[in-house]
Amino acid sequence: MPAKKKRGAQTLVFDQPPVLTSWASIAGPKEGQGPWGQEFDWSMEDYLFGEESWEKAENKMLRETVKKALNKRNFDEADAEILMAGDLLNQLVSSNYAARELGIPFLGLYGACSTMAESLLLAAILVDGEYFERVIAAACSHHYTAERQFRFPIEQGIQKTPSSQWTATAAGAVLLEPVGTGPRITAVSIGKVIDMDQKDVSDMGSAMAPAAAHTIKTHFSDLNRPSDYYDLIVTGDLGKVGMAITQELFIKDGLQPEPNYSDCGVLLYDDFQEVYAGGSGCGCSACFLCGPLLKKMAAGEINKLLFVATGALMSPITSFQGESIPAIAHAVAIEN
Amino acid sequence: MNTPDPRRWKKIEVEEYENLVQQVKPKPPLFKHCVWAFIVGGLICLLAQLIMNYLLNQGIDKVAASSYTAVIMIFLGAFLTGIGIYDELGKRAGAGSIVPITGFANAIVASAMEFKREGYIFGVGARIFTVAGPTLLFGFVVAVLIGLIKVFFSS
Amino acid sequence: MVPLYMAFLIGGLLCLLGQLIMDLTKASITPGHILVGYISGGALLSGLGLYEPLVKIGGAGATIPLSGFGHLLTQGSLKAVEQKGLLGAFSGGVEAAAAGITAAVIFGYLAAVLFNPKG
Repeated sequence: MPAKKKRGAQTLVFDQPPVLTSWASIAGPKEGQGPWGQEFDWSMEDYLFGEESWEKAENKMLRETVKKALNKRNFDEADAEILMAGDLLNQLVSSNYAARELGIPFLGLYGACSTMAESLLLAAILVDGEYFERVIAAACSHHYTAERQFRFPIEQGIQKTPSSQWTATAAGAVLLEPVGTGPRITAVSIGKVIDMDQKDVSDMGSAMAPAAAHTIKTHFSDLNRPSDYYDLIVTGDLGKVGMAITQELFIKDGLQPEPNYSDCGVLLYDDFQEVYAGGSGCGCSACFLCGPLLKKMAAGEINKLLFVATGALMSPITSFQGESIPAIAHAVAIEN
Repeated sequence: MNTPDPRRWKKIEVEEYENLVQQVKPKPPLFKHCVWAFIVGGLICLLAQLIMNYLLNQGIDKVAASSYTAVIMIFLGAFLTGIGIYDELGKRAGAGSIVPITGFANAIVASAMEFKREGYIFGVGARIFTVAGPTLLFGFVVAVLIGLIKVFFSS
Repeated sequence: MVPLYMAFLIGGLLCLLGQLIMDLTKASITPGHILVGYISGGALLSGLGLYEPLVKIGGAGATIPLSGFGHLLTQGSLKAVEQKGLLGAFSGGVEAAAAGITAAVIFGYLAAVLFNPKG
């Protein structure tokens, strides 16, 4: 029997679009000094957030953001039924330890920087399927925990290339319910892993752009929607290089008329903040969605948003072994 | 009728994509980088030469003066790393800060500082050689090989 | 003694070479590769007798870049072979570089004790 809610190859349409009733975001020092600094619920003064290590700080960021999202709806942790969250660290420790403190039944997810879209789409499926009524989707990242794990010690004198990106220190959480006031998730497209043989780990944008373009193209063809259907299509963290490539790929894929398109990694920082090609990390798209973007939707400035978070799925070991960088992108359609 | 080999088709797509990436990807500012590398590297060596000249003038013999100079430069690299300046220098100077022995000290010290939170044995102790290890290993390998070659030809 | 401007010039040129390698080759060249390349390259050139002339004209400009450290290792190895034969091949390099290696490790430890990475 064919699945009733599936459209085309990779897309689901919801009969009872889950409502995003509440959201919260936290930004690190650099992000708070950026152009959207005022749009987040808090901005940290330093990277330790009152904790002894960066890992503990990241864990606290996620925890407090989830609590804040719940509190805005006058709920506390006991009211949330399921938490779906992820981060960049090995064994998902930030999310695991945050879930330990929160005490909410928990599903940890790894999608690299696509985690916010992954948790959002899975949460939407759980709510539309009438399995649960209060599901939190969240993601976080921290610049220094990511650098320690993936790259070089902080004090080492490294010269970055113009295509490299800055892992954002940020977290975002959003509450989904079957009814209520707020923007709704009407459709989601689950991405495939796409690998175009890019090996430069200091240029994630080039590695991820094909995945973003593929998922977006598939989303439109699965739903038979015109490419200018959305007021805005936003990718998670392709950065300036990845964004430019994606725009070329839109043209190549025949996406006409050209959609109104931007990228959270590019928007999050000012040029003088020395972030080269822009922001990256799960927290980049998470905080931008759960801050500026959803605020604009609540105000009616954006009514139809396609949120496409992208992730680069390699590890330091695979890179040392000479492997290329596979990527994935998931799309979530949010409409008023 | 021949159906196109999917792997060959994918290879063409991959090559086309690589061309697109190379067109879009910004190139590093080569001239600026080279100027900085030359000047900073030159200045670090100049400083070392000043120290060396001073020590030689004090009557210290050449080999010892060389060793002292190296240790002083290593100390400088370590200190500047500790106070958080060396990475700022490295951002701009690139090879000018990596190639001199101060860069070697920076790599060792940065790794040691970074992993302090995991304790002194498995944090600092285990990680102190992360970047310096390969450097010393291959230095030793070549030096030992050359020594062995000399042994072989002497006998 | 080597004139100061020669130390500056030779040191600057060796670093410039490193910068060109970093910027003009494919992305996979990391600082680690540069360090390994320079120390091995210096050790090799030293074995071929090509590095000592550079030291004579460049002074610290040749000994301070990591290739100079490789030169130190090889010269140490060769001298020890003259004195001790086979054993010298193994002990000579390390002995010559002992002060430098130990200094780096001890200062590394001290810095870890005294300082925290900024952030």
